[in-house]
Amino acid sequence: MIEDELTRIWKSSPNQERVKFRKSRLMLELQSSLDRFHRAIRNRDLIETIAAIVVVPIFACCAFVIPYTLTKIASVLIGVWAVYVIVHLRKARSHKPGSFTTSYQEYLYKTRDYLIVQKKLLDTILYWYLLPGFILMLLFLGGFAGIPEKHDHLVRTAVGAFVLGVLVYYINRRAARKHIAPRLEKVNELISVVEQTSTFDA
Amino acid sequence: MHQDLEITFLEALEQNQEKLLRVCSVYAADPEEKKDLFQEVLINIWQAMPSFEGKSSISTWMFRITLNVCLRVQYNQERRRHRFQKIDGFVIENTPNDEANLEEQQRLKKLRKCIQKLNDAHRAVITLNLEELPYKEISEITGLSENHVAVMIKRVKEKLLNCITEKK
Repeated sequence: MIEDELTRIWKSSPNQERVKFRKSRLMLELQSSLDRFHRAIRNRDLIETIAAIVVVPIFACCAFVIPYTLTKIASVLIGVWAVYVIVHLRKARSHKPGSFTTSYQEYLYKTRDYLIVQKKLLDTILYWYLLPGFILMLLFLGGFAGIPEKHDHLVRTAVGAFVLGVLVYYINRRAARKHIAPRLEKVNELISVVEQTSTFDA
Repeated sequence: MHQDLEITFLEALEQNQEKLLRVCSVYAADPEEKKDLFQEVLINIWQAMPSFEGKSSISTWMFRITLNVCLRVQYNQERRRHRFQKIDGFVIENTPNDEANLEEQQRLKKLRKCIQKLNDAHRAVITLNLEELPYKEISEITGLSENHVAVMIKRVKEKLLNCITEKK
């Protein structure tokens, strides 16, 4: 047997090894992508929580100091809404899969569920975040409606809040489309590879 | 991990995946263990990517990590099992084989067994040589001189040829 023969035999790996690597590569790609995603979600939740912590005492003061009934009611409701936003975000985050679950397949299923929850959160942002926020802001401003010299300022603030709301809406829809949908696709791709392999083995 | 680094990693891996896997195969007792070992290698390369300085080629650097991981892991089975609990769901796929392929696989199995009988240094050098790495690169990876590598390879190849042709 010539020496080159050793090299030839050495390199004659069965096909299954290549299939396995495809999985590994997908896994690594996915994990890197998910790590970035988890970091982004954590930062977003942190910012929202800090905002709520700031908002609640400020509007609690407003409820005390400002004499108009409508503004007082709106201030209390804004505080409640801020707390609701945190609870809602935390609830969505509670679906995050742990690093060590029973199996990788299980981990993928949980990751898929988590991404679906996060996507739904962004898709429905109009109903749980923007509309209540905007309505409460109008209500808050409505308290000052009895002061004619403030009307211009109130209209400008309301329009500003509306424009900001529209902007936030589109940013979130874009995030759902650009950041969550492709990751969901990756997870589904990996799930199908893992399921296919399990079927082969069975 | 930075996007550029990730692309570099995936490209380098694409080029070297099979070579690294083959190196892992001589440090593992069975296909499951090989799979775990390979995963460990990939994760270590992945984690070390930010520290890659480009002093050697990326494939040389990857081989160095692969050998280090393989040597370290074979003495640390328990920790590795714990670490890979997460990918328990992975199973080895059995691809259908024709007669010629089966025969080839038998020979490959025998070669791997023969390599597994070698000591750590010989095993490392011969696997890199079988991957057709130049002596200079093998020398960089293992820290041995080029002459030493050349002599070692010659001896080990003789041993392997004897081992692979000997009847059971």
